Amino acid sequence: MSEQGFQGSFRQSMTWLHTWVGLVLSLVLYFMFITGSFGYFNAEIDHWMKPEQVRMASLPSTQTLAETGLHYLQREAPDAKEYWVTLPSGRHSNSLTVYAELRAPNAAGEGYVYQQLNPITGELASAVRETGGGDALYAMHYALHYMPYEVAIYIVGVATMFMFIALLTGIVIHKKIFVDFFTLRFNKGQRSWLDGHNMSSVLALPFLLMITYSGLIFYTFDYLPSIKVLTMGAGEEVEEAMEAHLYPGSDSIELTGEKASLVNLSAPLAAAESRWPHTPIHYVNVSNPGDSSAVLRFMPKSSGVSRGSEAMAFNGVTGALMSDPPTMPASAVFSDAMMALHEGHFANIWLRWLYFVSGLVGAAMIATGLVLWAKKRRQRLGKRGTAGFGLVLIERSNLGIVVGLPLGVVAYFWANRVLPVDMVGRGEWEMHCLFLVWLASFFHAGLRDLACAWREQVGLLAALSISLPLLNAVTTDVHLVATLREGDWVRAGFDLTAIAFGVALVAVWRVLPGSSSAAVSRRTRRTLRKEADNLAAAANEKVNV
Amino acid sequence: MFLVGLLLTTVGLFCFAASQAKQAALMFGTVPSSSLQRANRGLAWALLLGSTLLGISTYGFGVGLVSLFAWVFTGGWVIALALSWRRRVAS
Repeated sequence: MSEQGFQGSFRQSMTWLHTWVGLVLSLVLYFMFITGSFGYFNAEIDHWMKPEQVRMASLPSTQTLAETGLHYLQREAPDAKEYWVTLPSGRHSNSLTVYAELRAPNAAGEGYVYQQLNPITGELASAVRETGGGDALYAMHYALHYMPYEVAIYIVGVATMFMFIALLTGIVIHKKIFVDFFTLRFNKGQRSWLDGHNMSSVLALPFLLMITYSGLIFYTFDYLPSIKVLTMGAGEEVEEAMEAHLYPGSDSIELTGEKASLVNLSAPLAAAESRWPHTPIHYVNVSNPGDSSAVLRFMPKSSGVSRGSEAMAFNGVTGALMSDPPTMPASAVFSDAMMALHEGHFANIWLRWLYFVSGLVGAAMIATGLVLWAKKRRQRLGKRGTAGFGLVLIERSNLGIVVGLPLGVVAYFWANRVLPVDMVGRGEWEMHCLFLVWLASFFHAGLRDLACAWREQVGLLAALSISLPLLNAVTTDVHLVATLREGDWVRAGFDLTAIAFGVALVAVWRVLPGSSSAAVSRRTRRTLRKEADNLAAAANEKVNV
Repeated sequence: MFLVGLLLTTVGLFCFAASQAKQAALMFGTVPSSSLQRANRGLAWALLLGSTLLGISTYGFGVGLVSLFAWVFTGGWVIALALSWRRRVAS
């Protein structure tokens, strides 16, 4: 890769830029891709990590579910500003989530009430173990961990911008993008790493461009506050005006102070269901509950490339229709579509798997780029050159990044089964386990011979993955045989994926330098090459004679 | 319909690979004539256009386009791995 910086030709300059923007924040980017990929199965991972959670065979009607949630909130948070009930549907069919934004902090000093209820009994789903679940993994890809949210989103934003530049410069420098479209050569050293890097980036390019660009859209106004300030000014009123512009119908309503009970849901709900006949109602929202100014809103589950931000609003006391779903401005429609593409809520099971695999391929692209960078520098040194501290540090960190993070994620799943169920702060300790194991992998990579360290960590990752279903069988009742028998494909799928992942890693482990099978295969190749050379020489002699 | 789209795209990409001298030599052992390469390329674009239309007509514009990218991604990997295996066998 070019060392001339911006001094060389255009392509050389772009190569330099591609190398450095890809390298500098690669740790953050790899972390975002791995944890974000798991986010596409957050509900499924949640289900596996809560073995006590019962699968709901059949759910009550939408009206009953909504009333169950609202009754709970009316009882527990009578003086709230707003109620939100998230109805179970599709992948999230196990719990009814209720949320109330309070007017004043409660006895615990919290400004909200948040609970997950059993959708059938309406009681707290408290029998479930405390866990970070799939949502904690998912949230880390944009909020990181152990740091304030406001700081994390800026680090993530810079890393995403770097990724975007790396992708665009990668397109510029890849000369034979169509000719090399399917080129993947194994056992060719550095060439194989470059092929792997090119393949993973070219085939997943639409996904990578979309995921990076849409990731930036999420925090547009945080990353570019000047746009808002210069066009609309600053202050709380401006914020409210902008919210009202982007999400019409969501503006706050003044309290009248007159007590009034909430209307029966049946008529407004029927109207909403006839408005969206093919999409189930997913959110129920009540503004100013208990007041005569109450507004009841129904929102459908997102369908197509949309986050389902549209809502039908009714008078919360009389039930009269206040407004049909308002027309959103083009800018809001665009950002809504981008965010929906990023989150992939619309995806069916096949597409969801492809989102997941594409995310992992994005991580593989970063990993191969990292290894390639170190390999090129090592090659330049030649056999007798001594590697400087920087190269050694990067070679060893590469292992900590590439294998260490997946090890940490598997440790997170192990912690879910190994930590005592009644442990205080259990969810947070699962997360500590992830980071402790990740940190340990960096130390291990630093202390051991590098080739040995690669083999040991990949071997450990394979062993932990394959044995995860066994650990599950030993510690819970929802083992693979039981889940397969009951047709609980979510939990069974998790176990089977862990096994498949482990088996794939065993195949990788077998070909890593230094392993006995790799040595045998190299010896065999050398012998075969010698034989072929001898045969060719003999044939040449014959021809000459 | 998702799997039909995937199949169409994979066959399209196969034709696309067959339209390139280097990949075609790996697949068939010989380099096809330039007219055959052109025909393969035409067929490849037709099949890829077909899968695009299938995706959009089945899932709508946004989801259809995303589905197409997913099919290209999967089909591309299948062909790349198959060619890599052919290269190994050939060597």
